[in-house]
Amino acid sequence: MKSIPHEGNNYRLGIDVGGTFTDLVLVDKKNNIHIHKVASTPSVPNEGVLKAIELAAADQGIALQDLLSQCEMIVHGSTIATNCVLEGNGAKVALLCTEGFRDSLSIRRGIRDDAWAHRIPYTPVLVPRHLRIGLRERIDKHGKETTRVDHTSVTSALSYIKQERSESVAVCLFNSFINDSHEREVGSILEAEGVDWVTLSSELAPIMGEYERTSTAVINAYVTPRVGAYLKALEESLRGNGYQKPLLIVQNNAGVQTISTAIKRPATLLLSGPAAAVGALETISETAGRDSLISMEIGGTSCDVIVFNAGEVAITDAFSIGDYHVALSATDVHTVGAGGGTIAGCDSAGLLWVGPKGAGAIPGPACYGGGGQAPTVTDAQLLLGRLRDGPFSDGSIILNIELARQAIRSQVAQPLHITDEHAAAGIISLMEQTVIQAIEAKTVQLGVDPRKFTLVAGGGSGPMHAASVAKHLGCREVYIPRLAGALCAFGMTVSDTKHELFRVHLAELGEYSLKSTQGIFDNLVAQGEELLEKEGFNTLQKRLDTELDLRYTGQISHIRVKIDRRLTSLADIRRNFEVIHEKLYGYRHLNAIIEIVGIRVLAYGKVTKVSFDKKTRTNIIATPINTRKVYFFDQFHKTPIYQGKTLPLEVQLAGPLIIEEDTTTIVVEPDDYITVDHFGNYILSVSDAT
Amino acid sequence: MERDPIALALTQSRLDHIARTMGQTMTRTAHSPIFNQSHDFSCFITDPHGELISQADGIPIHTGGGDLIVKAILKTFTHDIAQGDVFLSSDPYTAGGNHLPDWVITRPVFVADRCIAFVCNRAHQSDIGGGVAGTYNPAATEIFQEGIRLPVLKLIEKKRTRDDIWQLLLLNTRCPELLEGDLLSMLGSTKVGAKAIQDFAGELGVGHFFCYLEGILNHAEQRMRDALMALPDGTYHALETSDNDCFSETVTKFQVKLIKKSDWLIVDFTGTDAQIKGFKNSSFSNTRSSVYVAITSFLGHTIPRNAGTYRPIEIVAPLGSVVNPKPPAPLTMCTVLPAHEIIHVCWMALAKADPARSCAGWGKICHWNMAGKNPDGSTYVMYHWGALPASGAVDGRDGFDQIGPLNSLGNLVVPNCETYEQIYPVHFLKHELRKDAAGAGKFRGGTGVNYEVRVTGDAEYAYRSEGKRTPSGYGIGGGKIGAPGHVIATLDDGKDIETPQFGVGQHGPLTLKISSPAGGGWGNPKERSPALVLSDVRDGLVSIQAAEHDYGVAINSDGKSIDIPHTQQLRDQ
Repeated sequence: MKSIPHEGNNYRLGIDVGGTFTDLVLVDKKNNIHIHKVASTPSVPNEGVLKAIELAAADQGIALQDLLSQCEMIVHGSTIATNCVLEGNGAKVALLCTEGFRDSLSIRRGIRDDAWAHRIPYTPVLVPRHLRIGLRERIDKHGKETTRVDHTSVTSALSYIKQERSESVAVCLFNSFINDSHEREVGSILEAEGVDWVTLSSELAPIMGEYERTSTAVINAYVTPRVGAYLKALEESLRGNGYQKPLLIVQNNAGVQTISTAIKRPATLLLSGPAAAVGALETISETAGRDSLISMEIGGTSCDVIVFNAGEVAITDAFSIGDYHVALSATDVHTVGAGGGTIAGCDSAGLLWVGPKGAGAIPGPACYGGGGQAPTVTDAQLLLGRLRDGPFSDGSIILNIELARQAIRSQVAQPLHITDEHAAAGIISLMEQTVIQAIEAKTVQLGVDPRKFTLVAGGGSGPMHAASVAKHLGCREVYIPRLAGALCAFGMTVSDTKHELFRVHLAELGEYSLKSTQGIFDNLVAQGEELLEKEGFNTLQKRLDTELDLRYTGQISHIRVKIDRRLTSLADIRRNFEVIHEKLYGYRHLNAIIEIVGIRVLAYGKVTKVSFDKKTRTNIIATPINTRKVYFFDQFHKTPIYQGKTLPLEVQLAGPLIIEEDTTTIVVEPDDYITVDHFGNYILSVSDAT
Repeated sequence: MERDPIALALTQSRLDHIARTMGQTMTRTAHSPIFNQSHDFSCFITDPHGELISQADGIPIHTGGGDLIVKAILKTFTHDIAQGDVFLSSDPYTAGGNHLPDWVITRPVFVADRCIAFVCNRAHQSDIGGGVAGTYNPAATEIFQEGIRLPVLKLIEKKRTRDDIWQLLLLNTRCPELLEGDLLSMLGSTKVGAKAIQDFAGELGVGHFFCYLEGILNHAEQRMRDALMALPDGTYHALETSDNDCFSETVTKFQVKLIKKSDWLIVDFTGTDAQIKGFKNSSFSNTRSSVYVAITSFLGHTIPRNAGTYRPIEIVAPLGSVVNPKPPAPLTMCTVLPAHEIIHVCWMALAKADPARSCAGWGKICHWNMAGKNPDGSTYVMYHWGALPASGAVDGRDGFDQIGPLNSLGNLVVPNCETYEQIYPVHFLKHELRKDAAGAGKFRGGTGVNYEVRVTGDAEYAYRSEGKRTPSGYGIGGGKIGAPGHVIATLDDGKDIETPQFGVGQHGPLTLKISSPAGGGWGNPKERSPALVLSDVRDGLVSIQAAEHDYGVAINSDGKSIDIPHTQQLRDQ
């Protein structure tokens, strides 16, 4: 097998395929970074990818084949798995479960987002009841077999599945998290019978809780055939054009995997796009010399928040996608419906609301002239002068300030009896409050103080809201990479390989249990070492982290606690747990029993990092391209407009001002300062918090 | 002071965010499954007068009573509320409580020397003493048999926890470890809330803070008035019943008269039966909450819920009746029953005012609780929530097949069987949907479940089988009633135990089978889409016979397709 780690003297590509745009970042042989943005082609996604690479090759003045053959690493991020779930066009799935327990998937533990909204039905169940088939078998709570797998029940289920033409089968048997032998037995029967796509819950997500484990296995089975076909086709067409290394893809946990591994567990790709921001944050952290960052990436429909704390990104054990529960470890990306296209309005009693609904690409904000009547955040930005009236981005959209004014006036300003500008500023404040609360909710959960963090603004809209959000959170500075609009694609070029190995292990924390735990640990460590070795990583490039999932007896949430690979000191383990517990929850429960619930090994294969290329721009003076009236703090200010690429390095400018970059717009409020560093990135220093 | 509409919108969302943050803190730190698995608690915030300003976190049945807790504190400790004090209370007759197991931690929030708000956490404790482990004593005939009664008391005085009271609390529970962990968690969550309120008031300035609090109350009031204006004026009567008083098969009537005029509403329970012998009496706090749940869930979930919302609603609950009993009537069951009957009867009356938005009935609970000893000698309490009933249908949605009780609009999480096997001495045999139980309708009721579990040790049981005799999920607009529940407990020697609907019993290892009550249907079943009837048949939820008989849909012998001409014929009849 060709090895993953690269030598560092060839091209590197990061390709982030989103619903609307495909972002491509090319790192050339001299370590210069190039950004390309093209429209996505949702019906044939791999064509969009090739088109973007062709564009990048042309920009380098070489042929596609030359670029690909000299490419040492292509990392891909894709929303294909996510869209498959959201659009409901996944596979026809059958579920094999334990007799008597086939309905946990549709009961969903009775969980609904908002109890009061009782008239709203659930999103459709992914496997109808007649395709959820109970097998005669049972493992008890200690992992002991009480009923053997009845093969006739498997065979008859199989013939029904074939007759119903299910493409993909999920297997989730009762208590398989503690003993997976029955699932493996059923899996091998299915394999022998030629079922193409089989997901075993105990292999994918060996966690306690039949609902969550079933839901995860079903989601995986649901997206497997589509995602598999797409990734295989993409890898083949890249190979056909000269690419020789394995194609890599970003997983939910921000690590990369080869396509052949990912295809078996495509549920690990549901957050493939946003998770790649982690790589970018690591680079920013090194470049800017700051190890506590909060990233806020704002696009058209939503804002993704990631907290990078003391050099590490928080990991969550579960997330949901389109109201379906996925119990897989993932980068803790908190997404809220707050973006440029987010819609505003007033209720019957005169209260302003903003979001979470958005205007989407069609019809889009009112000012696009695409027929949208509802005022959006972008309309508010335009009305206040932060965006320029006229052609926008590549010129395919023309912003019309009068349409924006009309929408805001009729639906917000007039009903509230306030000025158009006050209404627009209000829409922006309320949208920003959503972002601020999303960040606060995350930091509360993590027990960290946002005032000690640098805010990183990304996405097309992030740098327009950065100053205001930073002030409310008490952050003193904002870092704005000049490639803010393609942050995730850049992140892909610097992402490490990551394998996560996990076992459920229930035991009271004590001298005796440590001994049995050590054995399982050693086993997982060996597995991790072997995986990385197979992929060609040498000792220097390998890193293995070991963790225990711990909690007080009776608690349901555990805490992941990093521990030494040799489990020698009980006192250390207890202390580490209690320090984190107190930080997160405000207390420690002295003398209470601590339980081990799981064992994890994280195996990393590190790639050589790209640092931002240093720019050389000298002997130029910062000159605005023009000025316009921009609204800040209840009045319009005459405000200079700069073009990002013409600004000299290490210059400091005082707000109010606006900087237009290729993929984003930066707003600097009065009394704030912005500095261009020697990489051409921006540091915004905000005045005292409001 | 004139209020800026933008700042007003920001205030509402900020307060709700604070209440939710308190809830998250609690979920992640609490020790009892009742909190961390099933969210049986609520965090709320009041102004200095005890008026509710946010309850974004929490379960619906806790909605209406928070102010009474704080008002009782204000009455008891008028000039003796200082920074660093924290209060604890529960008694429904003297301390503004709803029922004894729900303990409320209340922390006043100060800026300088001025109390600007109260942040509170109301949470159902695992055990508070009383006649039966686990807080529910179906044999109770007086409140004294239901556990320790907490008047308004200072748990923490000027930052010093009162160890004497702490010890008193721990002495009066069968689960001191759980109770202690949960109390710490409640205290932690209110601490988080108090800090956030202080920051917020600091940013606005205290004067502005109060001004905007009044603003959000006024706004919610206006929203409720708008919603009431849209209902036709009139007087609407309804009657709902319970078929027992916990000791005998006797009918208890819940009678309501809604008088709706312009933008106000009177909810009058005159004619409702007198308080009963058993523990299904409703404290006034609980009755008020139940009425609020019924009205807001009917009129729309987007109406904000604070003290302003309920200004246009007046409740008449005769003293000494089952909806406003006199001491020492027992009442621990009230948050579930008769909350269920009160919500039902209000929904039935509202359906007469606005049939399009009518809601079919939800099945009443019939699962038991049990308690026993862990191997280490400590006490466990297990709720058989895996046997929760189904909900009724509304226009556009079938009933939820299994969901939390109506009092919380289903907001109680059904536990995983696997998790409960790890915690309790049980081995599960079945947890699946029922067939031919759901009330038929254009939108059918929820099915309910068949639940079977083997309990491997000795245990004490609290029977709570309200929904097992009389069907409870009423149909509406031509929809049919859902099937009642069944409960059978079989000892290892094969003998079934005869059990009353309510009561207490000690039993050895047994197998408990519960079929949970189904929900009612909405609208004429003959108008249900034949494709949906077919998929229910394929899914084994409706039999071929019932498809034909109840829905007028003929299914071909392959069980997979519709006999269209025959269906036409059946539906034309």
